[in-house]
Amino acid sequence: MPERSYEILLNDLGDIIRVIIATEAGKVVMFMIQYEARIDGKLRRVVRYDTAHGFAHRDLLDWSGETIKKRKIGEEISFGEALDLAMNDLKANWKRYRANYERTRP
Amino acid sequence: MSTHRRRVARATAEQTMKNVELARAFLHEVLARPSILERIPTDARLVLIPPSEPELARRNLSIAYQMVESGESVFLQRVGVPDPDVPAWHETELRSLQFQWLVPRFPVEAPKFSQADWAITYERQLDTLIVDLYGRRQPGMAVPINPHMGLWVDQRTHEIVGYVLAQFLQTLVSKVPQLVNLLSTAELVGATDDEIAEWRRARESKLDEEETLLSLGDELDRVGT
Repeated sequence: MPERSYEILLNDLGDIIRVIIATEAGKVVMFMIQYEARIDGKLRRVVRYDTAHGFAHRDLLDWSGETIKKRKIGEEISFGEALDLAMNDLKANWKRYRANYERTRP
Repeated sequence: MSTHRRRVARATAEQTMKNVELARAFLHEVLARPSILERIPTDARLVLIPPSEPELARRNLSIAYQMVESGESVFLQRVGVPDPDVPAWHETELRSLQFQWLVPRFPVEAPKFSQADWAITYERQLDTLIVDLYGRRQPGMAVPINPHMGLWVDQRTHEIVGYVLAQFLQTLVSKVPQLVNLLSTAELVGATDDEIAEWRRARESKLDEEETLLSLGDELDRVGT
């Protein structure tokens, strides 16, 4: 199951969406979306959306990279629906996630 | 003031929101057609380029320039571009392009100065006209320069080989009427019989080719500002 990873640039701060996609027989079989904020010149993982285990999850991460909050955002939904849920959530909350992440700085 | 209290500039927030939307559109394209990824190497950094938002395209391109300047490898990815009905166009239009220093410039070889030597295609459904000033359709990428006009840039040499004109009949011709002359030698795709007849009447009129050529560079720039 070949996996591919891409960084999609979001803004002039250097923030990105990292996408990992796995395909099999020409079809997408897994994808993960991660919002990473560039802070102090380094990309840091802030929130991750994935479709593992048949569910769509959202994980909020802290400064050390640990998951501090895991939430199921969809069940038995298509990749397209999971993608829409993830992007809607990111669009509505990216600033708050970014600010909250910075608060976990030691 | 602590770091997390720093406010994100309004323009940055707007750019982020729009790029999240573009990312959504791009990933839907990938889900529908995973083969898109075959043209993009894994671990690539993508800067998304919208077809109809020149200001966002300009901002994103500006960042791409900075990244390239600092030695990073960047891919430009056009998103939300409808599939054209023109097979030759479809085959040659690149939606993924490794970005180096893309400084569009005219080739040393002068473009053809006779409209009859240009390769012009008009697609009615998209109301878009492509003018290849060298009469050959070579692989390239449309780089927006104003709301209605893009440069067709050779991906290898960065040479401007033509123009892409959006909202051609709806907007451009109403503002710059002589541009309708371009249809007189165009390959017309998806147009109705009535429309073709009307354009043929225009074709029969005496054409001022030089004026039409100059209009492309000067008047469209004015229209777009």
